[in-house]
This record gives sequence, structure tokens and C-alpha cells, in this order.
Amino acid sequence: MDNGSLIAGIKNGNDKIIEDIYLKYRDEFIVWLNKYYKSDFDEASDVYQLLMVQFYENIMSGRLVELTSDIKTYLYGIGKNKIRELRESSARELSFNLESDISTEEVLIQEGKMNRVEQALDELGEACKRLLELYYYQKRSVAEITVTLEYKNADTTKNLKYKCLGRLRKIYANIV
Amino acid sequence: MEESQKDLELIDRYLEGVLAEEEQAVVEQRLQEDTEFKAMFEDIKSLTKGIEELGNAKLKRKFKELDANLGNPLKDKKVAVKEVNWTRYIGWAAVLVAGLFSIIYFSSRSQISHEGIYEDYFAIYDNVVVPTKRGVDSLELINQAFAHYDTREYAAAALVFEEILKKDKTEYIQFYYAMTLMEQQDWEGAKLILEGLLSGGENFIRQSKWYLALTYIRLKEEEQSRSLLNSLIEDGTSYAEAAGEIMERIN
Repeated sequence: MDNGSLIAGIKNGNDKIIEDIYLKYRDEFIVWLNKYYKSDFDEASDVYQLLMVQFYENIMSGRLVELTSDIKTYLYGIGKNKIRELRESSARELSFNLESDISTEEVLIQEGKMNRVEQALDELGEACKRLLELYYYQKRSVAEITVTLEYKNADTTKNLKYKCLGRLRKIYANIV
Repeated sequence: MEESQKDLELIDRYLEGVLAEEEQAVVEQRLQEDTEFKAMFEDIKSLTKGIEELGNAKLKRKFKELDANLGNPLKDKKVAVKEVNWTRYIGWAAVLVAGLFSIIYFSSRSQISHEGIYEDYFAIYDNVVVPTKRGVDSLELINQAFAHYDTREYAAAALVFEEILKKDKTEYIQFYYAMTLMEQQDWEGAKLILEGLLSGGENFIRQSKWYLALTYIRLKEEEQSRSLLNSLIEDGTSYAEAAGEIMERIN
């Protein structure tokens, strides 16, 4: 499969492709990160997962539509930035935690919010959930969603999107 | 359309950054004065961000599931080294050693692979200053430049940056312009810009040091590169470790 087909396949929701890419480069990347950045296995695995999520996001958001290099070079490029970001944020967290424990509190609040969002989405109903996930997570345009979900036209999709979001908000507000 | 749905649409579009300036001002005004509107704003923000983060969390979970069935390649690498009967290879080894000595002798000045080091460490700096807006064909040059940058159309981004720099020499514009030059292998051009940023700039200093050090490496100007790498190591920045590794390789 060429790079164009890979990107198009991932964009169209073929999860098998992203899994295959994940498996194909995983070991090689972990060994490389260990060699050049002295990462242990846990750090290298974390970085690899972060870079794969970033790769997926770049495709879904339309930031990556065509690869000018091969896929491995592109992934390693993201990986180099991710390892630096990860180490920078770890260093920041360390110095922050020495001064206060607000960070832990913030993390708990954030986790609580995420759990509420997940619960609200589960109670929302499959059709609305799918529409909102396509828009806010997969970054599909209204026109693309209209075609994928076979709605009448873009106005219908847009209207439904706001109705679903409004409904989700009501459920979210009622979850304590 | 119901009043609350209108508000919801307004908030959603505000969060996406696609409202006109006057509409943005209306939202910001209402956020100050209208507590109900503010509560809706906070909920929509949490929900839309939450959907995105949940999706990423699911993807990470999927990767962890895949990992559960895979080994640790760092351990496997050590395990994979097998016992070898070296006596079988002594003749070949002698020829190989003789060959290696000749190569080392004739190329003692070109042992450092400048290109190799550059390739191992160069990764273009992410756009962290101007978020690309979905569905907006902005007429503003700065948005155009970063839209090209985010889609890795560096030649197109460079042209727009050049246009902006005719009137506006803001440091981050210069820095990202240098990035596009490096991507296009115009290292002399990048060197000029990055040296300028380091001599008089206040922002993007450590990033400029890092990328200029790599540029020097690529141009085989080792002494200049050493000085910047040492500075990065002394500063203890996030580039320190990588800088140390490059120093080992060029020494």
C-alpha cells in the first residue's frame, strides 16, 4: 500500500492500518530511542505511543495529507520532538511538585471531568455519540459527516450536531 | 432556532476560533456579565475537549493492548546474541581488519558523518504559536504561512514568511522562516537568520542555539557547533542530553 492510500485509509476509519504501522515500527523505534536518547523501555514505549497518537491526529485533522518523506522518517521526526517534550514536562512537574501539591489536585479534577464526559457520552445514544466523535475527535468536516452518516444535507448535520451537543450538556450537568 | 441553541453555536464557533472580531467581542462581553452563558461556555469547553481527549485515550488503550502481546525489544536484543564459533571466521576477519585499517588510514579526516548526525537529530520545530483554524481560508498572511507549515508545505510557507518579513521582523516569524529553510536544505540561509536571532533576540534563544548547532554540523563547521552545544549543555535545557551525545560523536 502506498503512503497516499495509507493516509486515506486511516482517515476513512480503517483502524487496522494504524495498528499495522504501530506494530511495524515499534521495536525498531524503541531500540533507536534507547541508543540515541538513553531511554529505558517504559519511556521509549510511552514516547512511541504519544507519537502514534500525534500521527493519527495529524491525519484526522488534515494537517498531514501527503508524506514528502517515507513514513518511518516522518514518525521518527515526531518522535524526536516527543522525547524532548516529555523530558521537559517531567522536569517542570518535578520542580513544580517540590513547591506545592496543586498539580495533583488539578490532575484529580481533570480525571473527574473526563469520567463525567465519558459517562455522559455513553448515555447519549449511539447516533449522537458517533456524530460528535466524528466532529470533535476525528476532526471531520460537516460535509464529510453528511456523507458518512448519510444525512440529508450539511444544514441537517449542523443542526443535529448542536442538538446532540445540547443534549450531551444536559446529561453532563446531571452527573454529580 | 431556540435561544439556547444559538448561544451554544456561538460558543462552539468561538472555541473553534472561527468567529468574526465583533462576534468574538460579544462572546467575551457576555462571559463577563452573564453567569448562565459562562456556565454553558465552561461545559461546552469541557465536553468538546473531553471528547477529543477520550478518543486519544481510547487509541492509547488500544496500543497498550497491542503491547501486552509484544516483548521488550531491549531485552530481546540482548537475548538474541547467540554463541558463535569464531574460529571459522578467522581468515575472513583478518582480511576485514586489513581492509578497515586501510579505510581508516586514507580517510582519517572524514570520520565524522556530519550528514548522519544531522539526520539523526534534526526534527523541525512544531508550530506552537499560531493554531491552524479548520475551515477558515484566512486572508491574513501569518495564518497562511502557518497553515502551509502545518501541512508540511515548507516551500510555500517560506514564500509567505518572506513576504511578512519585509514589514515585520518579529522573532518567531524569523525562527519559523529559518525552519522552512532548513527543511529545504538551504543551510546557509538558515544560518544567517539563526545567527541574527542569537545576536540580538530575546525569544527562541535555546531553540535557535540548537538548530544553529545542527546547521553548523551540516555545514561541517564543527568549532562553531561545539561552542553552541557546550552552551546548551551548561544551560541544562531539554536539548542538553542530545547536545552531549553530539559532542561525543564529533569528538
